[in-house]
Amino acid sequence: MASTEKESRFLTIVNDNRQLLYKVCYMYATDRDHFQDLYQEVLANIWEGLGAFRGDSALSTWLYRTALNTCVTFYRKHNRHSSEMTSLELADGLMADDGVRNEQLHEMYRLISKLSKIDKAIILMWLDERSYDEIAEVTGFTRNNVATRLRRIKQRLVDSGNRDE
Amino acid sequence: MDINELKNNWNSMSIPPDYHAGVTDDILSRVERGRVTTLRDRLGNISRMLSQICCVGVLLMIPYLHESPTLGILAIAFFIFMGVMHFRAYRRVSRLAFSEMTVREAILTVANIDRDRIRLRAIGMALGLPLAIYMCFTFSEVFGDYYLYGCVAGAVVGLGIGLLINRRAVNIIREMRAQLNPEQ
Repeated sequence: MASTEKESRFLTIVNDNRQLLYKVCYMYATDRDHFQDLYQEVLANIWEGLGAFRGDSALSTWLYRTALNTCVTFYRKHNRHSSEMTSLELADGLMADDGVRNEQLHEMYRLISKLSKIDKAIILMWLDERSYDEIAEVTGFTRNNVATRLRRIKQRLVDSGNRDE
Repeated sequence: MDINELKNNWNSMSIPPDYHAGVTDDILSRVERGRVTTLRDRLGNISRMLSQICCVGVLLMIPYLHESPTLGILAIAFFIFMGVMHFRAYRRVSRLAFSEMTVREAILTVANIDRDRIRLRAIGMALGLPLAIYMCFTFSEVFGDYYLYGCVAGAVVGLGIGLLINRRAVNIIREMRAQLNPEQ
């Protein structure tokens, strides 16, 4: 792939899927510096893998795979434990149309931040209305395993949310 | 809390278009110019550097083949073995392709790479420490006892630093393996 053609394709993919990449990085970042590190790492891996992408899978599936793999394997030198306090700082960057839903999003973000990295990947794709098959393809679990884990994750989120009310 | 309602809200959520725009443009620019070092690059650079150091070690030990053939042969064999192992690790890391793996494969692969690095360090210490001690005693016969004391002190300090660094690597592996526990 020629350099300029690759650059053009890279910019198009990143700009068209910015929301997807931002949401993945937000889900795993614990503060703004961490977000920037993750986002940079994700973009670098997309750039490196772009030449090998032949369209065997959907572009969104490929981007999820690259972004999630980057985030779950990323390790910072001074790793702060993911907690509700750090996630709220980033949640301020998220916007909904009204204050009530904004509050609910913050709460959901706080609860999701407590999940393991694998569970975050599953719930994130479910929230983005990806099919069970696509989630299984990206995560490497079977479809039934994804369904079971998703059921547990949702129950845990509901229980945590009700407990805090 | 109605999780399906939250799912609908999630899809209406948006990151403000100008949020981090400046950061994004800067990152894009650096990525395109090849100025961003990824985790894979960092892991690979460590292994490649270590294999290069082993090559230097082989060259440094060649002159001592005349003075102490046993020491020279043992040391060269050690450096060749370690150099080959580090180069294999470098090749393995350089073939990491996050865009072609599942999330599960990525976590397992990176954890296994780090596990093998720790094992290699353990093998290196198990073979290298006796060799270093033998080297110290051999050289002390030629240069005097103070050489031996200095080598022992250096070995103790080096061992302590190495163990501290290894502890961090073990924590990385534990964290990555914990992600695959379905009960978490």
